[in-house]
Amino acid sequence: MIGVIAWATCREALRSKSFILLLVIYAVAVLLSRLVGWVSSTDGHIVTTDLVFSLQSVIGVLVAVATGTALVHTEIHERTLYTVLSRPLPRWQFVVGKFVGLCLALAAGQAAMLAIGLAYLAVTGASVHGWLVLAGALTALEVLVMAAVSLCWTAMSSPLLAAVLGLATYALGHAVATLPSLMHHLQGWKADLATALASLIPNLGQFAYRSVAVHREPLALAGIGEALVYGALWIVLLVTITVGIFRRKQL
Amino acid sequence: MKRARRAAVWLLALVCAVALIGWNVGRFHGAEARIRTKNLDFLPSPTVARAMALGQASTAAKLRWIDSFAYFQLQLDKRDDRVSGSGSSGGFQRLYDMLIGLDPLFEPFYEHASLCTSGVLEQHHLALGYLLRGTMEKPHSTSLWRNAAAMLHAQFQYSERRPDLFDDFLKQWAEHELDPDQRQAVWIWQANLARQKFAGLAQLPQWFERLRASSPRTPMGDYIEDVVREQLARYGVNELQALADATSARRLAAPVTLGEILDPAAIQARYPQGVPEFSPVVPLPGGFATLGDPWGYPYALVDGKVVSPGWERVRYEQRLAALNHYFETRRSSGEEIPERVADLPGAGIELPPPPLGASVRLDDGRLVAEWTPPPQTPYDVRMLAQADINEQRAMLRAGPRVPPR
Repeated sequence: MIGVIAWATCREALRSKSFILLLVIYAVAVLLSRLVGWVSSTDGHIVTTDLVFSLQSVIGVLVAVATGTALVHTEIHERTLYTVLSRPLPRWQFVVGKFVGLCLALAAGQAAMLAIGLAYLAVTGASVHGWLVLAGALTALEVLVMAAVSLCWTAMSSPLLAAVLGLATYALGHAVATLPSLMHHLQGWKADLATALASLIPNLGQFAYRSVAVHREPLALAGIGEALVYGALWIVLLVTITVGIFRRKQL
Repeated sequence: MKRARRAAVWLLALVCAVALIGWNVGRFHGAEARIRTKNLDFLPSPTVARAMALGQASTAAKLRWIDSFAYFQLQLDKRDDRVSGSGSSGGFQRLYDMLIGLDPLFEPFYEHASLCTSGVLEQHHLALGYLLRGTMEKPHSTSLWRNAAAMLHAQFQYSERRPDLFDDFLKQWAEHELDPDQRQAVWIWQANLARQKFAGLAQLPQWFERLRASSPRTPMGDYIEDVVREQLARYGVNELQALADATSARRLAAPVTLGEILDPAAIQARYPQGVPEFSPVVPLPGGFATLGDPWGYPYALVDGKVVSPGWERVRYEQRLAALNHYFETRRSSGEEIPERVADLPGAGIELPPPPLGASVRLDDGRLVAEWTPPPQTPYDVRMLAQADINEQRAMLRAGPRVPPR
């Protein structure tokens, strides 16, 4: 049953206007990124590559938040959820199916973005190498974590608030990556409090290998494994929380 | 009526769209380049900037950098980058500290930081700091090493003031350089530095190390062998000259043969700890003798000056090669070259006098030097490089002693 829900969710997400529109915006932005490369006083290829990968992350997260927050809400709004849940289907299967479907759609979107980005870089003469593919894959993992975050926020609040909270989590998730370097400004309980609060937020810096990959700097196998395990743990935790909330929700 | 109203709405929308697009395009037509100026009164610290970049640190750095070009333009006129706030850092320093903090692997940041602080503000110490920081972040970047070396040489006169430290710097560069051509260029720089600045054998261990890493009978291997021989010869000449000068001062008359300078008291005074390794002077039972130079020729004393005939030969061959190249150039432009050496001065070509034991002839329009064969086997510098100190000493002394001339 999870597979059926996942496949239906995936198709629905892929057909949604926000998904397609953001993909188009990505493609247009990638085309324009070369302009920024040209105005830099270098050959511009590294600048363009940087922009292409930042776009993949930012627009990928926007897609995840926009699609993730709308999915369950649409089911409730259009009352299709009641048809589904009236069957002998545990709620956790519904949530997991929805999330898996969303992940499939986002993964497809990320793969498309990566293919477009790399093709564009190759056409413009920039260096395209395997480390960029790895950077793209880790960005895709970041987007999947953000999808889990969005789903969790959706279960707790309205779609609009969930979208805002999702984007705030993205900002905080990257800010906490730098927090250890700023901790020396805090002492005593303030430092403990900051550490405690930061530990509740996914450290998205774990997936930001793209900044280094553009310079062909390799990432150790341990680093890749660490990012995979870290991402997987957050996804499992957030989906579990979502299931817990959804099971108690009065529909 | 309804259709007409709908058409009117569409028409209105179309007119608005055309007007707005025209308005936007109009800004670009006839636009003139103008100098943009920008002041940087506030820039966050590198850590804060990274936190604010939301995971897009390297992209944010590039965009901020492009935006800062206007500040560069401002400084071209102003040449004073002091900014408000605490600390003595100027605007460029704050800017590039932040940019490098955001993306430490982007080479142009270091090059532009150096250009701005040295070229515009003439604060060369800051520029050198950025370049050296760049060599730490990107240790295989030829451009950063070259710029830093040029800065040390041109702005800090390091090759004059601290040749030992400059030599260490070049050694570090050569060790990190991945391009073999560039590495050899650094070695040539080092060899030239040694030629001008070092009397001793300060670089010899480095060259031995390189020799061990190179293959015999390759251009690179031959080049390193030549450098080792030259350094040994220069050291030998300097040491013997010091003994000759001491003899001259003691006797108030210049020595005529090298045998005269091998006075045990003078040698004891120069080498109180014993004769050093690679010295051309070797102790014998009941006295001292000189070794041959690294090409197997005996050192000689000509008009009070010690010469290494082997080294002279190498230098003379280099001059002949330059002259032959010159002949080729003249020939290709239709000029004639004399057929006899004696006619060269008449054709405006000055031939340097050949060194001891050499004669020069013109063979098919090319200058060729003929040399007396060395009486001793040239040093096997490759074997020397492989050996430890005691073996080296034994190898050098094992050969036949050359009677001093």
